[in-house]
Amino acid sequence: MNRREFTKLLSMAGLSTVAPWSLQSAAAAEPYKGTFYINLAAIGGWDVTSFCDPKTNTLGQRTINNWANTGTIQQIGNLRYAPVANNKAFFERFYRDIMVINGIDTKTNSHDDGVRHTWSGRLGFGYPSFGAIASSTLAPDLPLALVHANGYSETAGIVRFSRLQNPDVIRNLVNTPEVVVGKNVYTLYEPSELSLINQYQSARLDRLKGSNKLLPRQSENLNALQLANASRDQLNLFSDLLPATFESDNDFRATQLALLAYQAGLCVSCQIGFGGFDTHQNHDATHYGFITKLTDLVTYIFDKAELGGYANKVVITVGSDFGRTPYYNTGGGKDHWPIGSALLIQKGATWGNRVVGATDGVHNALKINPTTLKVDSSSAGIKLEPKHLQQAIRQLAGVDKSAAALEFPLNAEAVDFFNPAKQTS
Amino acid sequence: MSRNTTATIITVALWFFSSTLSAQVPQLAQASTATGQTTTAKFHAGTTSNSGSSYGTSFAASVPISILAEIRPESSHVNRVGNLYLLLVLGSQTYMQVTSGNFELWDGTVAKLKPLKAGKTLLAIEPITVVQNMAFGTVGLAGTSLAMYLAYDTVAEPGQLYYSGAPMSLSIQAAVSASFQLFSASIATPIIQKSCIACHVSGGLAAGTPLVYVPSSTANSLQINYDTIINYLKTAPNAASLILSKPQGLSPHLGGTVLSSSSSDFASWSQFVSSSLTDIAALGSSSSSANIFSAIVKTNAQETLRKAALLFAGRLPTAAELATVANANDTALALAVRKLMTGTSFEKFLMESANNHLLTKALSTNVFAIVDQLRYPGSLQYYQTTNNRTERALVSEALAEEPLRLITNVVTNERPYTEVLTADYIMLNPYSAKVYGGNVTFTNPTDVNEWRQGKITEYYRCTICGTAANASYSLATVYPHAGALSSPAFLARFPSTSTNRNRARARWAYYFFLGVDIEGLADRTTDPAALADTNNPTLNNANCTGCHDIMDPVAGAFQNHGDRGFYRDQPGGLNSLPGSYRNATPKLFQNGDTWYADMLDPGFGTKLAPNADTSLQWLAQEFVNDPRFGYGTVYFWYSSVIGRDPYAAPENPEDADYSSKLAAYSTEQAMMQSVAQRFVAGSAGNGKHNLKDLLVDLVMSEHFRANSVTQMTSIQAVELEEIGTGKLLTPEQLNRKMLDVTGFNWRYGTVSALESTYGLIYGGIDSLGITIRATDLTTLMSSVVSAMANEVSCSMVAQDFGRTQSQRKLFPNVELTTLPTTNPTAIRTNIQHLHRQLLGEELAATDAEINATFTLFQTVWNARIAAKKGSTVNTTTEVCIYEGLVTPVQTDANQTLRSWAAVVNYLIRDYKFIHE
Repeated sequence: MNRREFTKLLSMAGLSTVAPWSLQSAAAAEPYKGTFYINLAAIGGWDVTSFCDPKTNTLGQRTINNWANTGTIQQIGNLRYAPVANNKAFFERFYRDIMVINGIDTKTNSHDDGVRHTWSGRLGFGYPSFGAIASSTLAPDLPLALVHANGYSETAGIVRFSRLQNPDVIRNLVNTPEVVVGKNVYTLYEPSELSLINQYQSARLDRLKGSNKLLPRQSENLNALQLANASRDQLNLFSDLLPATFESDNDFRATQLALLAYQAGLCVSCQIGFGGFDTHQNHDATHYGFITKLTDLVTYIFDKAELGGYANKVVITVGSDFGRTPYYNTGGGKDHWPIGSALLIQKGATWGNRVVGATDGVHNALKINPTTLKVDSSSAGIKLEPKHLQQAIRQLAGVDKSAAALEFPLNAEAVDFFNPAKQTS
Repeated sequence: MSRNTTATIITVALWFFSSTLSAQVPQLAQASTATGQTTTAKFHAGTTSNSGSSYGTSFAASVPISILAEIRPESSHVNRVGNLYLLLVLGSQTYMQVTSGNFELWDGTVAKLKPLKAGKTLLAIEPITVVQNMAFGTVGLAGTSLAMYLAYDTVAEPGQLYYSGAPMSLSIQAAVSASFQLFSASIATPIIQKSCIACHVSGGLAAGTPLVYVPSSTANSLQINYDTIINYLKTAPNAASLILSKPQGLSPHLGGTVLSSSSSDFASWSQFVSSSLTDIAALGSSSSSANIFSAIVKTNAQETLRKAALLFAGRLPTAAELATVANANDTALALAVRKLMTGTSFEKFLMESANNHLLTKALSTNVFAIVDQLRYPGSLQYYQTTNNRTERALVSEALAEEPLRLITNVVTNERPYTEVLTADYIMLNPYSAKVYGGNVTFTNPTDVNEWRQGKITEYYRCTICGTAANASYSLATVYPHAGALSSPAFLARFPSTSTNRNRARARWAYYFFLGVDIEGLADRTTDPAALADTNNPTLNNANCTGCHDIMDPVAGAFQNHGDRGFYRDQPGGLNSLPGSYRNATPKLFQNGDTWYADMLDPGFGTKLAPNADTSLQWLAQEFVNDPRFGYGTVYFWYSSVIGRDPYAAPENPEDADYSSKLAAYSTEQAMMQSVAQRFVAGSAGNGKHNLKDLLVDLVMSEHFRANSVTQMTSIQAVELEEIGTGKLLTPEQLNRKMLDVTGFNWRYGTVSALESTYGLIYGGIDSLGITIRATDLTTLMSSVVSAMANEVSCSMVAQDFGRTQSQRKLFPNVELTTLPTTNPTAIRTNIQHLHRQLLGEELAATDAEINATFTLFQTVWNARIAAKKGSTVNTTTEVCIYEGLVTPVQTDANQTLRSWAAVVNYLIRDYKFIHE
């Protein structure tokens, strides 16, 4: 018997029901004023050799990029980028705020596995996203602590995510005791009666939860309802910020709503993204348009954040399932390639304008020294994997020692990602 | 035992109580002290299975045993204050039992030694009952040995420790499980030694696999080989599926087919695997019986019927239906559940459940997401027109629903579920028939709900394709129907590309109908050399063929359907091979080809499709005859009944809760396999492959019926994590429930509030971008519940009181003149009815919940009377929405209507209204 089995037996001595997360209090949480963590997914596998880890062609070898037949790799500060899409404008505006992480080995070519590995740090099932860890640690009781629009949605039960779809519907929902007819607003119930109903519901929930015969599912769902009831009034803060019109593009609208949720003090993290990057044919004709949209979305976020006065409180992690092959297939497409990249972006970051991690000329990951960050092919070198990326984000957010993080350990080597004096290139 | 010794004391977690000791507990030898001086202290400990009549050192895993101990201090220490210690050693770990009763790891130093009992006045005999009547096999200790030491110290001799130099030793014999017995009798020799070991042996062809056996000449070969298989089942992804499919040659297996699916050996093998899964589940359980459900209480027959009725029939069971199961056994209950599977709501259940997977409703708003106006000239009338939007919308919806209607047709008519794939027809309503043709006569040509079997008769292939002036779409087609596989909606929802070559369709066909996740069969290679292979790696590279050998033949069976699903959509109408392939150099395409020459031929497993024209129909037959079809069907329908997808196998043995999750997974797999076997065999007596019986079996399972626990440890909490009642209803289910139990339809105009307006927010799907239902209530979702309660409660009450008392759903026991001051009994009776009707609670009139609800009613009523509220129900400060109501009550002279509205508001926002 190993210690894990013995520990299991130890717990037989006690009779306890352990909820995956517990209601700390039924009172509304304070509005969140910390950093907003945005996880932006380029869904389908992005071609980083045409973005942040540019590759030109080698004579006699398969063509990596057609643009390299006539164009050259560009550079601003310490960041190199491909001369396609809207990369120039993007990097020129944000290079000081960006850390590029290249040579991330996702160890898979499966979309599902790649998404899971990149956004949780573990290839296997069951690990929550960073957004789930951050929101469950920093402000779990907020009604929109974690907003999910697209991409990896696993929370491992440590927090619930909200979807913000039709904002007009949300606006109507928030003011539930009222009906609007023309310009007139009427109430459905006397406030005193509604208050009484809420009190009685709260008391009943307490009675139901007090049973020692609850199944875990019942206990969890009772907790969820109680927490939801306690935080519902806070949605008014979100509703009050909703503008008259919204972005027409679904992905921009989803981002807009997530930003508003943060501005309302109700959101810690969001998972946004869009697909189209899985360009198995006609790669050049289609992929760069999606890269453009990606960079436009990042630009949109910071434009809005600067208007709102919170640009320095936004951290964006940009990533994807994996990369794309450093060559074309017979259909002019690029297939799956396990090596990819990620970007961390924060306005005014001291760790910006740096590249950590590297690949060779044909986009194979190179080992780096986790301390010096230099390429290191010795036994001291490591290949970067999503676990290192996720560990970095956890550290940046200050949640790497949280209960949620410790419950889902990454077992990643410590990499000195945020030391401004060090980089790989 | 010196102070500095890190003693190798074996520890096991045990229950312990204080109790009187039994006589004649054996004395432990070599009583010693930390300083080495001699001592007259005595230490006794022993293990008994017969209440102390005798003591032993070795016991069977299934035998309940008690461990009893005594510490007899030196006489001069009696009545002095001291501490008692108990240490257990298991393997290399030493554990000390502390005052809380828990066990903690001990580092072997006296300084860190913690007492079991601290600061007590020592008696002449200190008895300790370490464990009482526990079978150690049930807590996973079969085949283990442990040792126990006792010790004490006292203020009479500071710094001294008195201890048993020799421990009590205990050995628990290895359990002989049912699966091991099967293995010994039917597997070890006739299968392992006779067949498998030819390759699955050290140095053999399969030496690099997790299954490497030893020959029978090796000592203990039975146990070794058995353990090898058990370990594989516990740790390898998809192990249970692969260990069945590979010997049959249905998954990549270099050894080919070694067990014919119809052979008695395979039957034995299958039984052994099932038994192993059950035993694995039991090993992970912390309960005292080999069953993770030992702690649970199931819903009784009437409670089960209520939940099944809401699920399948969208209504509460009638009084007569409840009466039939009042004292029913499971057979009668199953029959009653089965009878619920009829009517429009059951059809809705089937369609929603099927769409959760097939997702064809994503295409329900655009005719040309599924067809095109050239190949289906019947659709031309809707192409870029504005004058027939209503009809076009109905056509769009019908085209998208068609495969869901096929499933509904098969199930409601109790045909073998295999017909979902083998049907040589398509389901048509008057609107889809405008596009597909079908040669069907409808009773009512405007009835969207009149669905009949027909065929696609109005599909035309092109001799010259495209939109140029010389394009010609005149080749009539005898459409080769193959159930859902050839459904235009299914094919459109899962499109292909010239490089994907139907592989996605193959992947989803395997997943939906055989329960096989191709992506889970093997890890995709990330080896750069393999990835850079240009020699047709999916055909030739071993890193790729593991999955592609399974997937590509099935992809080939879809050969006649192009990227958008159109049949033989290339010029000439003879194939669906894209021009990029037909015109490529070097030229692989030859006239008459219908499939790629550089891919495996169309087929399934080791079989080839005999005829290119009918390969999909042939595939359908192969699928339904495959042993995995039954399990695949269970897998498909599981979430619709149980409220979540089946568990994935836990992958990482190092995870703290791995054993518990393995127990939960194995138990569930065993249940699903059992249901699948009954489904295929038609064990319920209603014919083979009758889906209604499968659904009944799922409802009758503990996974569905678990309702409460008697007591539960934290381990059991993991094992039971997502089991039983308390599932959040979907928007559609909640809508149907509200309509039936209250008689009220929450709508904005003609639009359903729950299903349409708030559907996505309340966890629904759009089948396109949002394809997974949210099953956890969020704050935003609770806003929908709050909105519902606030908006509908008054209207609901006003409508109900507008009916005659015998027709009411909510208020059969009171009138608006019934006051809490004059007839509280009637009000309580009606509150009991509301709790029963809305929440499924059967409560006494004086129950705390009834009291609370009555107090709410009374408090609201008193306040309204005191405030001298007017008699008009609908005012500007208290709006009651009458839109769509029939004869609602509009006056409330006694203030009871509004008081009941508050009560209904309270109840329909309740946990038990929105969960089942």
